[in-house]
Parts: sequence; C-alpha cells; structure tokens
Amino acid sequence: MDCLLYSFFSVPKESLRNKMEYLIHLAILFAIYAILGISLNLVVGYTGLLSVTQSAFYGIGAYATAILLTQSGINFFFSVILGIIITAIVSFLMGIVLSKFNGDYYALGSFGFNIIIFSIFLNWQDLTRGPLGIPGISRPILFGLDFSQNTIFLFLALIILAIIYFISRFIVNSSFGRVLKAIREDEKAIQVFGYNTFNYKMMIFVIGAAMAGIAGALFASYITFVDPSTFTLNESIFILAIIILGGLANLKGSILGALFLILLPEILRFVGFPTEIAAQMRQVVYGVILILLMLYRPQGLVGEYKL
Amino acid sequence: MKNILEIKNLSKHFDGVRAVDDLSLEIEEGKITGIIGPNGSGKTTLVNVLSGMIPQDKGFFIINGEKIVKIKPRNIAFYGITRTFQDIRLFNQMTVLDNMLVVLTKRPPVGALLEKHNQLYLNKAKDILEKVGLWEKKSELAINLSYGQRKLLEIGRMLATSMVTGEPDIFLLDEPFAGLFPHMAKIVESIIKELKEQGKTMILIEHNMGLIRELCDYIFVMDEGKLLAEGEPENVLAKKEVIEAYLGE
Amino acid sequence: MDILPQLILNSIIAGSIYALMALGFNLIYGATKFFNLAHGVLAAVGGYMVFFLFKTNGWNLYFSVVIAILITGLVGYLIDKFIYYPLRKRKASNVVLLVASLGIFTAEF
Repeated sequence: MDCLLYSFFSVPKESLRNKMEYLIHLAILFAIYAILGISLNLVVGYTGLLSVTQSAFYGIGAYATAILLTQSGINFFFSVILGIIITAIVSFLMGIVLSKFNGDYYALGSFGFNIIIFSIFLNWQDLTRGPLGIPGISRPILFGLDFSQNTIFLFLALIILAIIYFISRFIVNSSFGRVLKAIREDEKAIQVFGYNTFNYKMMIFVIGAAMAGIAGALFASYITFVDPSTFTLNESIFILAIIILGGLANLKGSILGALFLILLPEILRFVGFPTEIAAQMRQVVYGVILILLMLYRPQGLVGEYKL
Repeated sequence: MKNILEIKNLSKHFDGVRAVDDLSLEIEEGKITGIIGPNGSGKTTLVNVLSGMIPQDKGFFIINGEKIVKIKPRNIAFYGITRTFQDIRLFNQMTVLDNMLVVLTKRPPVGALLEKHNQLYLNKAKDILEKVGLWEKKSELAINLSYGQRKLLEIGRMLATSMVTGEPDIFLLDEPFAGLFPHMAKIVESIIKELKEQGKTMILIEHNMGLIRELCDYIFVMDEGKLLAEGEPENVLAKKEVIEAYLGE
Repeated sequence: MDILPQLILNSIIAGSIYALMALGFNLIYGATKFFNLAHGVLAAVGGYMVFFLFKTNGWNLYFSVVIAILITGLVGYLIDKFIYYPLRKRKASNVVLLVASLGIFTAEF
C-alpha cells in the first residue's frame, strides 16, 4: 500500500474535479479492502482461525492478473478466473498443513507462509521481475466499456464487492456457516457430534483465499502496477485490523472497518500531521488501534463476537 | 440380553498417572448402566476415550459386535454414540436454537452449504427445547444462561443429535444432575426414563447415590482407574470395599 | 580461498545473534506459554538504541551497548506492564494477547 500513499498525497486538492477524482480513488481502494476484509472475516471471525496470511492470496491474485494481462492477450475476466484457480490451489496446499494446527500455532504457521509467499514474489525474478514489479497492466476490457475511466472502474469494484458480500452472507447463514461458528466455539465438541472439522476449515480457508485473490486482481488492474512491497505481513495485519475494528463475525462490520481505515490517513492529514509524517504514522496508528481494541473493545464497532 | 458395548483391557495414563488401568466391562443393551467412584477414579477419562476425544494407550472396544481399536470423535456418531460433557461444552457465543440446530444439520460440508432451511430440523429442535423448558430462550446466547439452564441445554443437544445412520442408541451422561435444582433434576430424570422406554442404552456417571439406586439397572464401581465392583445397585452399594473407597478419599 | 574463513565467521555471528534472540523468545514462552510475536521489535529497539547513542550522540561504544540493553529491557517491561499484564489480568484468551503482539509488531515495523 506504500506506493499508493504517494498518489494519495500528490493529488492537489484545489479543484473540485480533482477532489472528485480523489474521492473515487479512495472509494475504489475502499471496495478492494472491503473485499479483503470480508474474505478474512470468514476465516477469522466466523471459524475462529487466526490466519495472518491473507496478503499472500491478495498478492497471488494480483500477480496472476498482472502476468496474464501483460504477457498474453487474455481477457480480464479469464485472468481473474485463472487467478482464483491458482489461489485456490496454493491455499489448498497451505490449508492442509495449517488445518492441523489450532490457536497460536495456526497464527504462527500462517505468519510463516506469508513470508514464504512474499519471498517468492521478491525472488522469482523470472516470473515476477522481483522488486522491479510489473508495470503496464491494462484495465479490463468488458462489454465495450472504457475502464480506464476510474468512475467506471469504481462501478466494477462495487459490483464485485456486492457479489462477494452476498455470497458470504449465503455461506454464513447456511448450515455450513453454523458449523463454522461451532468450530470457533469448541472444535473438539462439534467433532463429537459427527463433523469432519478439517474439511470445513479447509473449505472456508480456500474460499477466503479465492476472494482475496479477486481483490488482488482488481488491485492489479486498477493501479496498473504491482510489486512485492504491497503484499507483506504488515498488509495481512492491516486486513486483520480492519475486521477486528469493524467487528469479527460481522460482514457489514468488515465493510465499515475498511471504510474507517481507508479514511484514517485523510483524517490524520486533516488533523494537521504534515504529509511525510502522516505516511510513517499510518503504520504506527494501525498497530496502536489493534492494541487499543484488544484492551478496550475486542468486539469492534458493530461486532457481536468478543475475541 | 446382548451387550451393545464392550470395553476390553482399556488403559490410559497421563504423565505416569494411570487414569484408566486395564479396565474391562460390558454394557447391556437397553439398560441404564451406572459408573460410580470417587473423584479421580477415571470415570470421565473412560467416557472421553469412549467418545474418541483422547486416544487410549492399550485396549479396544466392541461396539454392536464390531471390533474397534481407534475411535475418532467424528465417527462415534456413526456408532450410535452421543454424550454430554461434565464441564459443559456448549457453543457459547451461539444462540440456544443454534446450539440445537448445529447438531441436526447435514454433516458433509458441501451438503451443509447447499441445504435449504429445513422445517423438520426446526420442529425437532422446538420439541426438545420445550421439553427442557428452554424454547422461550431460543434466541439467547448460550453463555448468558444460568448454570442449570446450560446443563439442560447440554442434555437437549444430546437428544437432538441425529445421525446419518439413524437415531443414537448409546447415551453417555457425564454427571448430568450435578448442581441442578430439584425442578430441573426432575426434567432430566423424566428424559432418562423416556429414553429407557424407547429401548435406548445409557451410561450414567453420577455421584448422587439416591439417583443411582433409582435409575440404574447395573452399576460399575471404579477406583484409581480399576474396576472395583459390579452388580446391581443395592448389592454393590452395600459392599464394604465400595463404602471404604468413597469414605477413604 | 580467503573467503571461506570470512564466510564461516559471518555464519557464526549471524547464527549467534539468532540463537540469542531465540533464547529470549523461549524464555518468555516457557514462562508464560505465550508467543510474543513482537519479540523481534525489541531486538530492533536495541539495535537502534546503540546506533543512536554511539553514532548520533558519540558515546563510547561499550557504554552505548550497556545503556541500550537497559533501555530495551525497560521497553519490554513497559510493554508488559501496559499491554500484556492488563490483558492477562482479565483472563483474556491467548488469541487476544497474540493479536496485541501483532499490533506491537506492526506499529514498530
């Protein structure tokens, strides 16, 4: 997200048109992070698995789209599908290992996987061009609409957010979702009643990962440039902060949390922090917010579930 | 009458302490079998091993004529076994109704995902919740209930366990009466009697000797992981060793 | 051929540093059964302190190291006092502590 900071703060705020452009930019980022938030909430909030590796899937989706769009003439839609497939495969393999753990070890293991994937982004230079990143990703070409217009892209992002939201709602309200919550509450106990919790944990982990991959595809196509620095551990923790702030096990909460944390740098700037400091402060603030939430309000803004 | 469950030479130790020591016993079908013994005699460990929550060190089981060595928790449902927990393991941040529904729905993940809202489940949950007197509290979070209500919900959840292969046959009740007020204990008693009438098998762990005498057809006494005595309640409870085991602790 | 001893030495130095950090981490885990994910943060604090005192302020190197150790210990103590201890007192689950340590990790990074 660091590269975005410069585009944040380099937009002059004089003209109204620029203000609108800027708002649309924020709105698109908001949509992307709302998707990420929802994807992680399914795993952390509803199933109780403290996964700190969502940015890995975000990155896989982004890189898949980046590579496919710059190196072949594949349509955006198909590159998203391929991105989902790759994300699903990687998360499946990761899930097999992770789902054997619980609690602390799960977090630690996912931590490790995040670092592994990040290292792959950084070092598999033949594929990803390493720290140089992949520039020149095209905007989607769908239905003859001109997605180089940010307004139209925002439309796309919001529609995808809506689809993901409704799919998640369906999952959460189903019998499957109820079992997820039981796994969160007491995994051994729900096993005794005949459930193969390993399969449930695998499924939701892969679903969450695939959704994060979709967010990554959106990101890649919007910014038209990807590099490893966006997909770090800190990014995973940021997504975690979004859903804890919004409220675990609450889909609307994730959307709210994303809104709040995207607007936060703006609020900081408004309050008077000079631009350069505000950039560094961002990370500190996210960390402090997490700590404060744990100390004083673990259920977040609208959550019913207390960590 | 045939034995629905046989436990053969079961041993389980924790860090050198023999929780269950070469235990063998048979449970007759359709009877209420009590397991009693002083604290620490291994009763709960026995039930935990039987429900697959911890693996045994030695020994095996014969359930419905089938020899089983390794019990996985998710398989006991298929053997027709269901249970309550002594330390109440409810799904705390879920509603009373959800605690019931979650043991009624389809087990396979994809099936559970695509399952349409089933009125049948709701009806069964309602019947049981009304029986234990918790239907009005159906939208309350389990953690907000009183101790007695939580125990009743445990029993209700056990009753609700439906199986792919049919209704459960063996009910493991781990101290279901502990800490209950008389009017709630009466509800549990009537549920047990009703199950008996339906020909179900029950294993009852209890400390209340009056209830043991009244409800159990046959009892086993455990002490320090071993089988101390067995037989009909009246005979066993009069035995010297049994009285000494309890008083001596 | 001269590179080999240098490499070996480098490896020993790097390994020792990691081992030292691991010992500290293990000490905390053994006592509290809690993975302090912010452990590396304290190591960073130590490093920066030495740099600050030695290079920027021009103090004696050994003196800087000693003071840095003390300050790092102090920071660790403060983190426990204001964050972990209140959480442990209210019997917060391990997950809460873990998330709090993630917060510290990301704030410092």
